[in-house]
Amino acid sequence: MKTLLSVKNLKVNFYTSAGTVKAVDGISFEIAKKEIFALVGESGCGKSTTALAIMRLIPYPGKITEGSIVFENKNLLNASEDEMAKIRGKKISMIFQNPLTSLNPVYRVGDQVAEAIVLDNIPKKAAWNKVIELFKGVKIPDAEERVYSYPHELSGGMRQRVMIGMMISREPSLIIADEPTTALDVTIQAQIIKLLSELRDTLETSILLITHDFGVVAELADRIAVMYAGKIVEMGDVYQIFENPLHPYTGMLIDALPRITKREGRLKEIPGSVPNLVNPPLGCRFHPRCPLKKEICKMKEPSLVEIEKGHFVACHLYGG
Amino acid sequence: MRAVIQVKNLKKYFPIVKGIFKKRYSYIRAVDDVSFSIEMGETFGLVGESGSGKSTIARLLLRLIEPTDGGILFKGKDITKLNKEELREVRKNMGIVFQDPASSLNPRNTVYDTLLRPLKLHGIPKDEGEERIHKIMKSVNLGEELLGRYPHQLSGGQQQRVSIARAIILNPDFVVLDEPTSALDVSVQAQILNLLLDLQREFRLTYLFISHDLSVVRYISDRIGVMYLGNLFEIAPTEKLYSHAFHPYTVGLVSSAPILNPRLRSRKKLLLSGEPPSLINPPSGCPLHPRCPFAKPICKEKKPRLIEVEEDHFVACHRAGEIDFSEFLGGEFVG
Repeated sequence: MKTLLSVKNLKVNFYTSAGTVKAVDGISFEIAKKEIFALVGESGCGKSTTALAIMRLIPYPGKITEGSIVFENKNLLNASEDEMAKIRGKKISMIFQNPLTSLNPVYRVGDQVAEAIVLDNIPKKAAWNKVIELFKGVKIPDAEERVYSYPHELSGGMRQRVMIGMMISREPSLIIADEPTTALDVTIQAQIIKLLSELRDTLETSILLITHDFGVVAELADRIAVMYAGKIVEMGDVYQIFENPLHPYTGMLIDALPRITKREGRLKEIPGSVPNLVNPPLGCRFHPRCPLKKEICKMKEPSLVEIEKGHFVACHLYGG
Repeated sequence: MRAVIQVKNLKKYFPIVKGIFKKRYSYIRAVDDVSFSIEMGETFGLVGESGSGKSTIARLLLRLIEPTDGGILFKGKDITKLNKEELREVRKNMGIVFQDPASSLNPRNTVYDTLLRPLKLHGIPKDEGEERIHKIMKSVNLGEELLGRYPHQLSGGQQQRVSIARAIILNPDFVVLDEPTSALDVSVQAQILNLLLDLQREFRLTYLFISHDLSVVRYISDRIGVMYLGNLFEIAPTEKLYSHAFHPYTVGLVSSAPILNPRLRSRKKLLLSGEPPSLINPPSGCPLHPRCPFAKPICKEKKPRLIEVEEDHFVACHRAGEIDFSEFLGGEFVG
């Protein structure tokens, strides 16, 4: 498979008044063409920061301090602002959690999507027709009329469809979807998951899925990287991660999800909470919460090693 | 079993006003004729999507808002008719925990002040109050060193433990939990759910647990009610609801929920088309009929009543029992 995006040793720091927050601390991964790759983790693990780094949209006081992000054979970290402007939206587009804050409330949704299409030197009339086609493609009912709606006139699920329509309008090769279904209800979530998976097949796009929800990952992703406190702790294909999780954190996180009734037993807890990234724990960052920790975990940081084909883990239990 | 809460034909309509004379031109039917009861010591779960009316019910049960019509019996006494003084006595016996602990705790009060306030309001003497605060901190697994902290100095999980402690410090019989773990990380959610079960046993609490998360409700509840557009569609014991639901909406919800097994991706799902309609002009007849793949002419005309189809299993559907849902419910449900 051909690699579309390759992130190597990426580091992002935020220089706050409380100290330097190492939000992303040396992560590496690759996304192949047509692949759905998921970054999963709890709040503050660095998954959204990674997405913003790929778009080169890290806000002040954050900074990319090290690493490379190679997209279609070009290191985005060396690209000029003009070059980035051409890549954003055209080559890489991004879907956010809350479509209401990403859409402009005072413009009709059709105009907003057409605005993106005319950037490719397509005449207005043709662009408008393309918007209607796109709306049909993302299964918006009555597309011919819906293009005249304002965002507040649409439901949450419809707004997210508009956003997806806008993001695929210029046929990007990578879509970054940051918690695309988190703000939606269960029945609507199922519809959007189905839509995203169909888009991958029809448009042959790659998707970088950012989420905290293992359920969505199990339904959609091909490969997964689990993040904890700015690091990737485990990476593998969806079956390896769900059926043979190696890192204690991955296993405990999946087990902490209620899959049982209270009569069948007690939920497995992960003690404590995620660490402060200004002063992360020494050694393995998970060691204060890990029931399997050894002496070495407190001193030496484990590195990500390949245990079986395509299955990587950063844990001293496996030699890390 | 004795009912702690009995809800009878409860309705809450919010008026929509327009113009300078505040003319009421329509209503939002947030809760539209709902009846159910909660037995002593059980956890009754309410599930539904946004706008289904589950949080409105929570607020009605504590009479934080006034019902439009219907009765709410707390231990046999209709609380909709109580005056302020009487209501105060009853409220002592009820607690509530909200979704977002950061916004439901006063940022200017320490943990100690937050816990002291309900004790003061209900005239508990100071010595006894102190004792209760120390005892409750132990029950919710918080160290005493946290008593002097402000909410922003606590983690999300610790904040929610303080909210829970505040809700049960007066030793109530009944606690409403409105999405208590939705704002928390997965690893912390498990801690809070286990804590709630421990506290239920320790203090013999009766819970109303409201959530949109089907696997969380399934874990914690003894019986579950499914809501849609202000209506209760189905009430059943937990296991039965997930394996033998009768209502197409319940089946749609259960089979749409993501499953933690990538090999079951291609399982059969009952995907409900479209989205919930507006509460201002709800559909005639059964509110689900525009989205229901099994709708018949009668569903457009007549609203189905909630009837007991099997022991302890209530359904509001004209076609209850007629449709075989086993292909959607057969597999393992693992939210």
